[in-house]
Amino acid sequence: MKPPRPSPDFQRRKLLRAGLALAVGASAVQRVRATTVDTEPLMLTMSPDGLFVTTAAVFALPRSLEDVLTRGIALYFETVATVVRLRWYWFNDEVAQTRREVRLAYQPLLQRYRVSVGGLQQNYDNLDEALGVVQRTRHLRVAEAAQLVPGQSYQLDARFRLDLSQLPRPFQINISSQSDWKIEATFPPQAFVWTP
Amino acid sequence: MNTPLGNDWDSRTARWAMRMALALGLPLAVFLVFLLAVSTDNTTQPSPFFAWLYWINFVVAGALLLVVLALGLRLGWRLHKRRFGSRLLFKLAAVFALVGVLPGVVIYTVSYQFVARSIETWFDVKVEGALNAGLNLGRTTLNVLQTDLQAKARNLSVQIAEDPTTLSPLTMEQLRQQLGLQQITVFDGNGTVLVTAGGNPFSLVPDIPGPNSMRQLRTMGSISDIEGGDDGSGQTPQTLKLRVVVSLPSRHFVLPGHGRYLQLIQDVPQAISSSALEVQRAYGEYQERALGREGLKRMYISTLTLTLFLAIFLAVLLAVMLGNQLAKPLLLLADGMKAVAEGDLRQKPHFERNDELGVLVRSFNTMTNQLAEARAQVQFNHDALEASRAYLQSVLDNLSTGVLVLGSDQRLALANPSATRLLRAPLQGLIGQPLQQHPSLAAFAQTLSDAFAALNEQDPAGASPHWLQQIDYQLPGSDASITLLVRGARLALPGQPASVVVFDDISEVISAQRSIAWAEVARRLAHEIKNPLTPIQLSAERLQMKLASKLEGADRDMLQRSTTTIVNQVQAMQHMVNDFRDYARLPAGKPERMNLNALIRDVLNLYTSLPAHDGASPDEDPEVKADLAASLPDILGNATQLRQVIHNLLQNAIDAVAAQPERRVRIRTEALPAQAGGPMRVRLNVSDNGPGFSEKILHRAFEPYVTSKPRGTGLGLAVVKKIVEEHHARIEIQNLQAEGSVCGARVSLIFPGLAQQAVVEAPLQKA
Repeated sequence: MKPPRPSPDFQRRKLLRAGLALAVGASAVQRVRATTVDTEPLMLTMSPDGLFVTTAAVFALPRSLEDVLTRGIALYFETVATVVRLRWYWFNDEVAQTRREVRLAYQPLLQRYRVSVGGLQQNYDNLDEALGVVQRTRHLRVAEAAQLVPGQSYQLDARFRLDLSQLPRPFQINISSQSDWKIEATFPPQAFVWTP
Repeated sequence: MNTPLGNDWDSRTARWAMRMALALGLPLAVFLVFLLAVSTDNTTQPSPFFAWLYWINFVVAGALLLVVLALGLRLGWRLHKRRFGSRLLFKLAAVFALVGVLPGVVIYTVSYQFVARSIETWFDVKVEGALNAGLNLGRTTLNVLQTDLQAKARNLSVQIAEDPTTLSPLTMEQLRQQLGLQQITVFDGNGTVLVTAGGNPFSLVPDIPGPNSMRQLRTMGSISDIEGGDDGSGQTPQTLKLRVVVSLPSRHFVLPGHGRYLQLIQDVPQAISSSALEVQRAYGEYQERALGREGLKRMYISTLTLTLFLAIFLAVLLAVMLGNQLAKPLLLLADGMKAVAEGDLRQKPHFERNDELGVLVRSFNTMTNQLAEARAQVQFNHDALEASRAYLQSVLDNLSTGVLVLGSDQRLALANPSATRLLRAPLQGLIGQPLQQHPSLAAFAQTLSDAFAALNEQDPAGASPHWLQQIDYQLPGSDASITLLVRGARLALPGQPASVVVFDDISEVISAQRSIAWAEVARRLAHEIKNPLTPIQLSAERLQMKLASKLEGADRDMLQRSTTTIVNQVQAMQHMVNDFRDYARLPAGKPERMNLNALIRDVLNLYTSLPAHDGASPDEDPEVKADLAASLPDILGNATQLRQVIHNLLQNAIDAVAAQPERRVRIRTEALPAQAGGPMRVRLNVSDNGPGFSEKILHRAFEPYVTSKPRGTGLGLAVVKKIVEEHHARIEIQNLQAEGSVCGARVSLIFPGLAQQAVVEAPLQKA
């Protein structure tokens, strides 16, 4: 994990947050910063079969989530990629969208991690390997070739997040007080011209 | 709730609050029930509405809190302002709120403890240890099985290496059944199956490791894996299967990737695998709850707390509303009472209810009505009394008769203006004091008390005892007196002795009576005396005529003198008798337009035979000076009568100055400015420098036979007055004062003048 860039924006946000914390004052809840997710640039593959994307969102699983995981509770991560046609005169046209859900679970009996993507399952003996699979999405088909017009400019938006709503209900109560459970990243949008 | 407006506002807020409570409270209850049902539901899939519900409830609770706070603030403000009824409302609301809140708090406390404790009791070290132990047991069992299978694989591989003929399907099948395996497969590094036995009969291709495992196999030389097992997703089979792959040793050199591998697959016995998976599932659930217990606890407690708050707010809201409802009739009543106490009997609290409070309000209204009627009656009586009193007062004020009301000890209780005028005493200032305290009234008061005393002696129990008395009242500040006719009576007032004294000035009446009496006397005298006078005179003249020639000397002179005396006296007597007759029977003169100056000049000719005689012999005749106004308006009058008036006045004046060293008589006329709306008036003054009138004469100068002269009939001024009255003129008589002493007298006549052209005869035609 790279250290956070000390940008002025960040400084300002920090200040803002400090002010907010002061304003909240009495609230004894210790605010934990959201987990930082580093996004790597989207890699597009244009082929006659369609548009494929490869993403990588690198993060370290927080200690508390790791604890949750090793006690047998599954975590769901989702990657959503959207192809939009930019329209300056109107809302952007959403051409296609794909969602990939990755389930990360730990089997206490066999002491190994299991990553399920769709129907495929893979077992790993350590967390890092399993996380590597979770963090990288390889060759995800975003759009069919028929959906795209050759020569047209598009933009690919993608985001990655931990789907907290699929956690067991008692955890939902705690979510508001555990901001490091919030693992979210939006990839920098990638503009492209459809040339298969 | 002092004003109707405030009342209106109050009821409006109450209605508003009620509607608010209904609008918020009912959905709230539904929400709460739903929320509770959802939160106690034990499905692993979280309800997507949970957070929404939670926040909606939170917001509603906040809104309710605001409403309650607003109501509380309003109540507090009213309490602070000491608005009427706010204390009662506050007490009622407090009581209701206490009744609502206290059980809620108790139940909450118990529930809180219960929830916190019971959740904690679910989790303890023993259970966790047992679950861990179970997991370990499963793990160990699987490891034992795995180790066992590995040993078998090694033995088999050695056996195959020693005897390659065993690599036949038949032998493999025998070995498989012998070893109790699921499947035995021999394949090479490319994944090509050489020999296989057992396995899924419906599957054509035997189950061999995937590419990853192959890679691992090539590097490690063996694989030992347990497949299957529940990971909670529900997609994997609920059985466990052991897979062991070992490389078959070869005596020949084998190229990398061309080695042969032996794979053994053995199903974990059903009892073991299901138990182990069950333990794992239980462990997972336990861990999930253990991890989520804080959240669970928080969820339960926050739901409980939210419920408590909602219940409390609703209770307080209901308390305020119920308090309002209960206090409303009481406040209405109290308001009405206050209004009645302030004297406003109009306002009526309307309250339609059939309970005791309604009866109370209706009774109160009845009472207010009766009060209002009674007050109206009293007001009516009071008004009537006031009117009659004002009537009496105005009658008393306009009465020319003096009225005094005396209390005990002759304390003055009431005196009308006429009494003040007649008695010339400040009676209004004497009210409440005994009458005799005022010096000028002492004699009058004495007379009154004597009269009342006499009345008491005479007839103490008379039906309407009263006395009538004529009293000469000495006017204060002068020696003149007036005659009062006084009538006294006891007033039959209960409890206090009182008497009323009514009196009138009858001086004029007496004067008129005297005039009439004198006229009668004069007429009789004239009649009785005049008749014998002519024979007396004739007899005397005849005596003289017959006897004069027969007597000589002194006798003849004496006869002459005596008869002359007789004749003279008879003539004088006749003259006097004529005067009386004139007084008694003045001829009714016919009034005509005339000038007073001309008449005066005419009369003055008699007193000054020559115009040059004026002032010529002061010793013999008094100086009569005429001072006549140049332009005197005409008057209506009878010349003959007025001539006599002037004559009488001049004669009186001349008689008055007879004893003075310097005798001066002055007659003057002048025109007086007209009164508003009337014609000019003419004044005739006759003044002298004689001794003036004595005080006693002054008041009765016009009565017959009242004279200051030694020889006089006393008829002069009486005749003047009579004539003057017939001319509708006014006569004034007064003494002239100079340096504090009397230096003469003056008689003034004031005639109404005539307008220069118009001749008004109407006033005298009546006369």
